[in-house]
Amino acid sequence: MANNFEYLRPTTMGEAVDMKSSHGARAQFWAGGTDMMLQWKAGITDFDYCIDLTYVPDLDQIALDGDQLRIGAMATLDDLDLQSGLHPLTEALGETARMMCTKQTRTLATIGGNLCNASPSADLSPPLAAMGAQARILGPDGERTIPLTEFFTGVRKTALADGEMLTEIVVPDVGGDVAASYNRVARTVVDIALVSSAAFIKLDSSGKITKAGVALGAVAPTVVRVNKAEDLLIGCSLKEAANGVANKAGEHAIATANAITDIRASKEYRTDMTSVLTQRAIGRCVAILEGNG
Amino acid sequence: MGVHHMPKKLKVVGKDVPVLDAREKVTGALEYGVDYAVPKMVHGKILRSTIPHGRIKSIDSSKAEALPGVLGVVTHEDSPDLDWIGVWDNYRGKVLDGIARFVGDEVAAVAATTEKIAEQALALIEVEYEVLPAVLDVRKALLDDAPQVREEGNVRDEYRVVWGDGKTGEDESDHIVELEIQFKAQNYAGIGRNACICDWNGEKVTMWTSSQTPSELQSGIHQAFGIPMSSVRVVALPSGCSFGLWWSNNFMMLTAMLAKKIRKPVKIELTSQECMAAVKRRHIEITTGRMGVSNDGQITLADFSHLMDNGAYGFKTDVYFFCCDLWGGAKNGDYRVRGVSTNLVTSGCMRAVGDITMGLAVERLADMCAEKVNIDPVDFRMKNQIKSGQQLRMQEPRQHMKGTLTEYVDKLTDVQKEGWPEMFHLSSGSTHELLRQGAEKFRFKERWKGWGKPSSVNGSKHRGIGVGTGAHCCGVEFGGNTSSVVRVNHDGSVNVFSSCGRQGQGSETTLSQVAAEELGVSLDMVNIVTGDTDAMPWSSGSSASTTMFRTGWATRAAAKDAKKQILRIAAIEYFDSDDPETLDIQDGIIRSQNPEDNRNVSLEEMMNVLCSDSLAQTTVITGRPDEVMPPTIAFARQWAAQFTEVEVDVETGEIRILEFLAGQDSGTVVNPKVLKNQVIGGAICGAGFALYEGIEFDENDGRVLNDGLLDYKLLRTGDFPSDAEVFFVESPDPVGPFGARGAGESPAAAAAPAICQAVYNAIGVWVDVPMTPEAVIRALNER
Ligand SMILES: Cc1cc2nc3c(=O)[nH]c(=O)nc-3n(C[C@H](O)[C@H](O)[C@H](O)COP(=O)(O)OP(=O)(O)OC[C@H]3O[C@@H](n4cnc5c(N)ncnc54)[C@H](O)[C@@H]3O)c2cc1C
Repeated sequence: MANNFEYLRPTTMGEAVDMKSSHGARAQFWAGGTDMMLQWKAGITDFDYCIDLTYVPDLDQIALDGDQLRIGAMATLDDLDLQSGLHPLTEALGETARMMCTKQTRTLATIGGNLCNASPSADLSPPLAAMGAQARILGPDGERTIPLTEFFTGVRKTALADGEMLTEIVVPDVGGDVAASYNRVARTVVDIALVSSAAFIKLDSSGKITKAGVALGAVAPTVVRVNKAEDLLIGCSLKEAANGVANKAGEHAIATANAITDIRASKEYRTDMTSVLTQRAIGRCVAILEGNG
Repeated sequence: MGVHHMPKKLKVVGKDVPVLDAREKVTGALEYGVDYAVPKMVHGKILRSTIPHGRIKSIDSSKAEALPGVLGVVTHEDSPDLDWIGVWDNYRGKVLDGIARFVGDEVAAVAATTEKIAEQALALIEVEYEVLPAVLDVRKALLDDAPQVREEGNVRDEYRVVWGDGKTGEDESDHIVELEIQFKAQNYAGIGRNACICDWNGEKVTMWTSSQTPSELQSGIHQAFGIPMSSVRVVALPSGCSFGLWWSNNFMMLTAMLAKKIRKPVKIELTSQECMAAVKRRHIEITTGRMGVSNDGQITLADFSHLMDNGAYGFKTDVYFFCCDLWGGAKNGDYRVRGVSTNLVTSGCMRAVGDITMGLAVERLADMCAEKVNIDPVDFRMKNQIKSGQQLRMQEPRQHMKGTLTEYVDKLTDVQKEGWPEMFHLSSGSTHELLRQGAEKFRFKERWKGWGKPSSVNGSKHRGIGVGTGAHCCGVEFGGNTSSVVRVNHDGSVNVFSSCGRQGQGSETTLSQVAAEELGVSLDMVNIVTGDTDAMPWSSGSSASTTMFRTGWATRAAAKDAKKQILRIAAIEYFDSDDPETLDIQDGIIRSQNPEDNRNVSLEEMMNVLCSDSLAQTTVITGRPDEVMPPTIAFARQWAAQFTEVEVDVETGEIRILEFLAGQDSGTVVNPKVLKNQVIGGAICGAGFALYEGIEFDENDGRVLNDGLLDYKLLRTGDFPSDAEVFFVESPDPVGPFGARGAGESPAAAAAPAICQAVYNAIGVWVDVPMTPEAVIRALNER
């Protein structure tokens, strides 16, 4: 049975980081608590200090800043849904958010919590990774920014060092013609992904793909990018992407996946589905960019 | 005489009144087992086995007992040497007997001042086992050299239903189709946990727990501890959905053992993992079947062999399958069932027991036959399913408390049987009208494209339509009779005492409606006690779809008896000693049935005077059933026919239910809201079984792996069409109260085959349940 803990309420990021540094591993940040509460009750996690980030201002913004999309760690999944209309990429992220949890849970669950929990099946990791998002981290020694793919280091493991917190997610270079799509297989309406795939495409002025991202979820300890599929997409026209290239990209997804068999699905099924889902994600990006999304 | 006549115009029965506890429920005021507390209560926790099979060599609780705050520990050494039997043989054994029979089995229990201390104490109990070989495979459990789970051996007597002749059936068949399906065990997975509080005070034992079978729990305590029933008071609290889970469970007996030892009220509150992995579940079932059909679409042969696992403590010999009645038009039938013990968590009756599994196998084979002779599923069902008045198949060998049912019926006098429907024949209703009306509403014939043919295809999305049927009993008397008491108070208000518990089935509302209708008072004058065995007559609880039919019948009979007594006194005192039969109570007023006669007295005045003036040697009027109820199992069934359209993504295997229409014939609808709730809830339960639900057992030790809702996937309302429609066909029952019959189980049985058939039509291959995305893809690949 879980222990009692002391509740701390910082009101600035600096204070939050100080608290974490001084209590070390015995302290944990509390965002929406939707993962933490269950883990605490089940005895999977245990802490003496709970640092509630809810009262730290400026952590829950979702905004465009020049050609960057900035998403605060404390923005909720529901905020993501509500901000869908902001930009083509928030459209994709809003759609992702609506696949997740329930409305009730989404109003509590945060984007930072979803990423810091570092579950292989977390739904936000693949689309953000495909978009080339970066994680901004604040620690006792100041701030650093790393690619999101490096943020995840294993099942429920992140690159956060002692005393560090995730402050925001930055997606660079979101101007121009961009689209993203995330697809997953789940069982009931409330479920975590059995397998998932996301794609991101950016076009240059001539209509060729200049940037592409393909990322898979729930087929490895962390989100994995399918670099070969991305390379294949770059330089293609939308037509080429839709006809043939998507199919090949799917084959690369299969080759990249390193799935396991568990109670939810078999390795074989997961692996096969990476191709279907990757093709669908690419197809959807193409449709959006052709104006048929 | 068991047959009640229908009054001309019903005033309370049939009305769409909200359930009586709606306000309590939505405001959170209703106290479930886990919410309940009593003064001076302490807390208990259960030590559970970590191995699937073992004999306890030694158990040392001294360290646990020494922990500050611990009040007592009980082990098998404290257990009375008495067997107790749970409802429908869902448990048979001692409370503890020193043998662990599954991972999670109860081994000992601790009481302490706090739950936390009790839990810490569990870790201090040292158990040494002699490890015994375990049997985790249902088929292997049948073998002679299999490890034996129970003293009585693993294999129960075969239960068999036979009519006609198998050889003749084979000869008459133009086609014979075969299958074997293994059904995973469904988890009750009721939303809401349970707790039990027991106080053993002197010779008096009081137990508060969520249960749908209060009286049987009282009997269980009486058996387990060898104490008089009069010393046992069970107060059954409401439960969240139960579906058969919270009847009389051994953890309740363990709570009583602790209470007896420490002489303080003890509460054991189960965790959700315990609820999902250590109490009960549906059986793992394996159906092997053959069905024959002649070219004109007549089923000539139905030959089924069914194996079900009882888990560790279940002791059932069959699953109570009424699909053989449903498909009673088959010319020759042979259904064999065997129960077998395994070192897995106990299994028991879950909603639509037998009919959701074996019934699904029968429907599948029937569909395969229909395809062979190219008849659509609606017509094929109409041709081969039983009609009202026809002979029932599932009957004769059944054990009544007084021998077999046939012997019992034969021994009754004509007076006792007067007015009874014909025994062993279907009294009323069938699937026919449901299929006819349902097909019309669903536009089935227009939408039907043929067997294995999608109704539409859009890229990877294939849609298909399907229809499924289900039947079940309306209560069974073998587990014990049912009763009700109706008390009319000084002010003309009414208390009903019916032992049926409250698991959301709405019986407190519908039984009150029955009493109010019969007594001629408004519903707000009626209050009902459904859980306190100190007040209620013994009654088989809310199981086997019994409550509306049998307890409703008893409630109406008790109300009639009360009314008869009232009218007899009223006739003398207020109506010049007229024949009481000429009087009636309407809207709380006693008056003559002759509209010209203006004499009247209010029920309140009459009852008030009765008390103060001693018109009779009584203060209140107490009514009880004063006639013999015909054995329900010998004539009454409930029917469901459901239509659906599904969409299957042939690339990912995902299935969505797009449309759902559920037809239900439960006789007279006593309360449309309550019945609709039963039908939709049942359909969702059946749909969940078809699509996702199934317990995963660890292959090495049999522990339940998906013991939480994260990986035990229940359908949410969002997984089921929000515009699902329900329609009723009301074939009145000649015996049931105001023509009502049972309802809770046939809807669950019909949903699964409807969805399976729709998936088949969408993609052209049959998929075994649960039809998870992966199972669909596998089936498509194996095509
Ligand atoms: C019913 C239900 C359904 C769900 N469905 C889905 C689903 O479909 N898809 C899905 O991906 N997830 C799902 N989840 C999981 C969960 O809701 C998400 O992971 C959620 O986004 C976590 O956010 P939170 O704010 O609640 O995190 P918390 O539980 O508060 O925190 C999670 C972890 O991250 C740490 N943390 C949080 N914020 C920070 C920060 N800024 N810096 C450093 N560390 C931090 C915490 O210390 C903790 O260890 C579901 C959960 C539930 C209960």
